[in-house]
Amino acid sequence: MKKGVLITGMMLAGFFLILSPLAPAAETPVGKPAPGFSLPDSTGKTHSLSDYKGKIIVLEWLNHGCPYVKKHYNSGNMQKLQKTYGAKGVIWFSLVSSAPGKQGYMTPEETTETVQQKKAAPKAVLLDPEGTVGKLYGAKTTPHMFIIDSEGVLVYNGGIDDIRSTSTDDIAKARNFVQMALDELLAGKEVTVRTSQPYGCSVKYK
Amino acid sequence: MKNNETAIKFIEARDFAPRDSFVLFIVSPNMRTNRFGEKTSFVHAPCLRLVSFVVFLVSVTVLTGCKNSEPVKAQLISEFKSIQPGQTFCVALRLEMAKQWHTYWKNPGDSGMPTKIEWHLPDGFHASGIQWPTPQKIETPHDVSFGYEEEVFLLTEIQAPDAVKSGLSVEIAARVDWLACKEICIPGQANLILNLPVDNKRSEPNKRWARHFAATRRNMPQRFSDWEVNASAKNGQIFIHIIPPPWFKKELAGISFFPEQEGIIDLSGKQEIQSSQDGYVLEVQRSLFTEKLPQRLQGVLISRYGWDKLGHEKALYVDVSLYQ
Repeated sequence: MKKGVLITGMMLAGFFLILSPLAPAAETPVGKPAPGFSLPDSTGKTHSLSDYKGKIIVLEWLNHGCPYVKKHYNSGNMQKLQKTYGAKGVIWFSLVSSAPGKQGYMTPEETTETVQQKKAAPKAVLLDPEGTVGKLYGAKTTPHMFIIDSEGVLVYNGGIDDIRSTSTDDIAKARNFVQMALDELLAGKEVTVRTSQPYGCSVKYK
Repeated sequence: MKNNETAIKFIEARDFAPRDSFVLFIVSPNMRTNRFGEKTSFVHAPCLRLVSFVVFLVSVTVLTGCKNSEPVKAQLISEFKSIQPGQTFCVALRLEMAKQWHTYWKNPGDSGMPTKIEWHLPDGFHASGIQWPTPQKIETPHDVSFGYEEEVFLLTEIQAPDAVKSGLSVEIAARVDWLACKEICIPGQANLILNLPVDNKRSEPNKRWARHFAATRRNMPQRFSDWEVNASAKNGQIFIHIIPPPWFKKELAGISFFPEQEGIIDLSGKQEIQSSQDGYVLEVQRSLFTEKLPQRLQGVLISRYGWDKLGHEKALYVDVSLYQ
């Protein structure tokens, strides 16, 4: 019996391994449980998704060299979201899946420094230089935003807003899907816009 | 965007601008407010000095732009050196990309941004939307984009009013924004100006560029009414039905669909073509990022055998109802 489970598990794992390079986004449909992961932050502390059971979690893919990320950080838009929702109990993780040597990669020290310099306020910046979690979630761009509800279900997968540009002037005109979804979740409502095309630079995987 | 670290300022005047107006524009930047409502600070200071120097001392009108390491050079080119009142004429935004860099199509794909043109025209002039040549599919192991490498001419038709006076010169200005990527991405922008004399007797073709306009038009997706195309969606798949005309005797193979709309099709997904009762069906994967499919499907079908009898036209424009 146990053996059967093991073999099925291995087959499933094998299936996903085969599937993942072809359809990196297919593993994370909205409405399904968000896949678990553990990653270190810049201080070396490991964060597991399961550590934050019962909390609303935001995953933000980050690359400070990318003009689209600059749009949301130079304007203070991303920091404002991190602070506003952090104060309401939302756990916000920024994830860096850039490989060493590629744009956006930061050593743990550089990461800590950058957080201070940008006055960013995520719970932590998680380091994913192998790109494992990025590929697990199908992170396509920086930024690419995911929201997990208090039940552990992925409820949003997509862009930060609806204006695909690098211009900070567009932020005020855009519909911010992350803000909309978080407000709805905090009010105990269903998320109305559950997905949108993420826009930005490609994730600099290895 | 004011902190314009990456913008390219490249203006070529020799083909259309009366020399004096160009010289005035370059030499007296602070005395003139352009159509963008700003003093002409859009010419990079070192670049400006260099250009002024060249214009003053050597008195040349042939400017090859400020050579720099920027990935894109932008330029406006008119198909006519002079225009007539009431004429519809074509203006190209020419983007020259450095080696391995690309700019984007209307649908940039998984990442990137379409090039944007904001026209600033004299009263009574109207610009149509951009006519986009068929793009290239640019693939990396992790994403798919649509864009242009090396060089592209993005065409726009501009209609002059009947009332425009002959003997005048009109200023056609555009604020252009693009994103250039080669692995990393750099946004660029330029404020470009063309001066076109109005002549009610004749409109003089711009021979220097005629070949480029012709080649660009040949590379536009075409509609072919003898090919019947329709589309349907079922269980997360989109099916594009293609019924060849009677003269088509070959096997349809190696077909790919470039969606013009963003976020409808999973661009990394497989596209498979199979024979059906009356033709072929191309099956494409629906994107994860759309919960509700649109009423219509727009895009380009690429065939390496071509869609016309000679096999020259590789891109078939599709704009059909999407039955669900």
